[in-house]
Amino acid sequence: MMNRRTLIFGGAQAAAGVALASRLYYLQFVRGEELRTDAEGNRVKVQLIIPPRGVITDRVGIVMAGNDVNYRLFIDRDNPAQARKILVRLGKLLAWEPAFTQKLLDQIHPRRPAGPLMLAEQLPWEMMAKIEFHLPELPGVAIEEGQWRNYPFADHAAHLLGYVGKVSERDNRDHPLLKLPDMKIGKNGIEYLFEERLRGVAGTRHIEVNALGQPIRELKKDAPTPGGALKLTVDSRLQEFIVQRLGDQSGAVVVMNVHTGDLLALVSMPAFDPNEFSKGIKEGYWKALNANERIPLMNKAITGQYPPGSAFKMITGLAALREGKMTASTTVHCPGHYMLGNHRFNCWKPEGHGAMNYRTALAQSCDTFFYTVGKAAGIEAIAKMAKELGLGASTELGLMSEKSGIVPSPEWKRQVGRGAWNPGETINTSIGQGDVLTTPIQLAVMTARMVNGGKMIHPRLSEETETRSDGFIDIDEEFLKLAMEGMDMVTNDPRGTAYGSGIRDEAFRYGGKTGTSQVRRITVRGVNQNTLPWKYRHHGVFVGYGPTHDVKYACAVLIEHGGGGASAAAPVAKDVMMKTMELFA
Amino acid sequence: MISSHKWRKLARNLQEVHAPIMMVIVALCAVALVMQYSAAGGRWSTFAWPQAIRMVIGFVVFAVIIVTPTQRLLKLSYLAYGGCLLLLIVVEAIGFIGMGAQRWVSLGVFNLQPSELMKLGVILALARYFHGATLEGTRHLLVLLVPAVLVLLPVALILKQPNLGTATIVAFIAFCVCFMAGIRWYYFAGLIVSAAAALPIAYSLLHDYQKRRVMTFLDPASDPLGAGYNIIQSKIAIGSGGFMGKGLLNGSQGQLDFLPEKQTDFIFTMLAEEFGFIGSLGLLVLYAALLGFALLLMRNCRNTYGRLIAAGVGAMLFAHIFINMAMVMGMIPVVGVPLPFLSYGGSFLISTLAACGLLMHVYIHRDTMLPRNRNFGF
Repeated sequence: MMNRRTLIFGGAQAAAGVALASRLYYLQFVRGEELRTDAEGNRVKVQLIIPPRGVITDRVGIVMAGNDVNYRLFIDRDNPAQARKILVRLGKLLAWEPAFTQKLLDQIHPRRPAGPLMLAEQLPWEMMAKIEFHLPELPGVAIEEGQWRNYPFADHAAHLLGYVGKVSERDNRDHPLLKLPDMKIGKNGIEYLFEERLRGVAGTRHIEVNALGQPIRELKKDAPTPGGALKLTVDSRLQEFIVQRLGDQSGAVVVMNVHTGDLLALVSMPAFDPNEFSKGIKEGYWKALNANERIPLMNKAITGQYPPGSAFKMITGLAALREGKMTASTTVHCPGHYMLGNHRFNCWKPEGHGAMNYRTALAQSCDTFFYTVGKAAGIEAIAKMAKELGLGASTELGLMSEKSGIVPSPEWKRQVGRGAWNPGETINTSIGQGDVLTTPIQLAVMTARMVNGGKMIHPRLSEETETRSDGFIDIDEEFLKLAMEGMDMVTNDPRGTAYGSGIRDEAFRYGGKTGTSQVRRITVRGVNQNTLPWKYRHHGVFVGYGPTHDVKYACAVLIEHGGGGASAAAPVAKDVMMKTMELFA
Repeated sequence: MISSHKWRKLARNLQEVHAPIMMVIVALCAVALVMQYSAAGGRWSTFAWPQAIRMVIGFVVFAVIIVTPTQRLLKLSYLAYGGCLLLLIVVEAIGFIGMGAQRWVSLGVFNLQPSELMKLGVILALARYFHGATLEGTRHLLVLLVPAVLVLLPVALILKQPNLGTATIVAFIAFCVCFMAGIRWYYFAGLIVSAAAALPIAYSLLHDYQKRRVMTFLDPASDPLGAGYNIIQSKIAIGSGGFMGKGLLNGSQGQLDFLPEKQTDFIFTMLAEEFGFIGSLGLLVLYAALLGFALLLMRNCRNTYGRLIAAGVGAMLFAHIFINMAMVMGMIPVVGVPLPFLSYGGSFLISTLAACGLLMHVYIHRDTMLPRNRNFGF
């Protein structure tokens, strides 16, 4: 009895022993390789190293966006329960507001581990010393050196350069680099447009860690490849000059090379400080920006849409010339108004300009002349001309939120569902009022295409982008010359609307055209704009080109609620043209 | 005063120990100290040194058991059992007063866990009881009433602590002793059937954490960072040890703290990681030698008392070794059962050495003839 049961007892033990040995064999031989890899995966943490972002310079190499060292505080979330405890300890150590600590705590899920969480950046020296001293009691906490995007021109090139910010839920997060908590990507402007080449290639760091995620030692490091430097066509000196010249006026200025499309300046004021954005926008600052009636967050140079006013008149004339409805010597008598049926359209000069031709009408900005030739050319011809000069469509600069403006036509009116075209609208369109809307950059492009021989140039921001043009406008070059002559008279003929803003030095002689875009539809003639509340005043527009003897540059100036083209925009344009021609003489 | 004759007899007892098995025991203790050194990241003072002191205490107990005459041991059996039971009740009372689970009584040097000692108490009491019973007696159901009470009383107390692992092992030991005592097959069959019937009820009585352990065992990946973490990390550690192991202090899983409880329940994992298949198999061979020795005694001992003690000790060691190793290798759910000799902890080490002392005692006194006590020794 005993022996038989002993045998059973022993047999059961032997079987169990064999089972244990088999399991050992299974784990250590059959699955050995796989589990060894798992053990390595446990032990070795691979961290991506964020590559330094490419530097952005202006056309002469002056840094417009660079990188500064940024000391940042991180906590590991591999062990969430511990991380929460440590975070509370850290909060007490650094005397954080309980609400602030709580906000950070909310970002650590009690059980689900996650990547490191950034607690603070731009650490001041004293705080760093304090943390370093207590580091042994703060497992999982680390201070890391990062980069902080620095914009030396602050708000002077804000819209142009854009800014960088944390990767948000809405961004494409395909690349593992974009999942890092402190990764920043271009959010607007050049930073967004050239994101890929500015970003660079991530490096890697292999670190041995313990179960708490604390690094024991670095095993291997592959340095990141920095992002490539980007050279802009913009000249920071000109950009800076324009900003200073605008002062506290709200508006936009665009300067471009009429042959290459190179943008030499793209200014929109007032602006924001992208340095504040790259640090992480503070709520107060954000609110103030949003509350500002001059809309600092909007890039008025490409997003602001304004009626061009009289700056449109060249187009009306060119359309009439091309249609054969007008010649250089066609004369129209201006009695101070124009009658369409029994509807009366006023000229800005009540007493009338008398006999006007294309050039004198441009110089003195006679409305009656353009009502007449516009009516003769017809809206279709005007719209075609406007479109070929770059209006009514995005310039395809590539920057975010660029608007296309509006070139009204019967077809457009049908499309937007406003019914049949009214002949009176052709009259309004002829002087750039009514439904015409343009962005400042479109006005610059329009001017450039008129003065470069009709080459349908597109603007560009970097020499890396090919100069683009859609060929030449099908128009007699003499007609374009005529428009240029008229524009030249605007600033250089004593009767020109902007004669006071002309440059009397032949080397820097330039031409242009004033425009006043009405903000309130019903305007009583002769009201002193300066007595109106700011937001009801007219916008001042000026488009210019120069130097007259060898045309290279075009500019567009828009002063929001400046009162008028001649009084607000032309003086700015004069200084901008002068500075441009001086810089590149 | 002890006479010189008695001294000589005691000395002879010590000389009569089974030398190879003695070497196995010493070897296991040595392995234990090396592993405790490694578990402390290469320091003797943290775990190895306290454990060495307990080993000395354990060997003193071992020696005392060897030299005690079998007759006296037989007489002391119920007393030992009663003492353990009393301690269990005391712990239960303290735990009740302390409003929490309590498994130990503080003795200063270490915390005594009566439930560990109870394993030996049950072995002694059952061996004593069945030694008194006749072969015919074991065939009557009524005779089983006393051992049933002897076992269920401590099991209930230990379950209440709550300590499922120890309670299971005590029950298993009792089962094995009864089995070896010759209780009829169909009683066991009935027991197994009723146990199976009771299983769902038992499951419903389990604590939430215990239920979770069962569920985690069934699918460890379901909760890789909660309860399943231990098993996953343990399997990784064992598997990554491979054939030769990573070497002493070089096991990344153990040394970098990926292993929980590495000095206690998961000490085998450390050994498997650092010494590989060779080391693990070596350990299994040492244990097999010890268990084989117990089996041999079950066959060769001339008195029922000794045979049943050998059976009980064998069952106790086997249960711990199997449950612990199977647990860390992911074969059964996580149960807090220590590995004999290797796991850090005083009470269990001392009861293990005492159990080995009992084995050695049975070996030395294998030829002693013990009279049956008709009145079951009461």
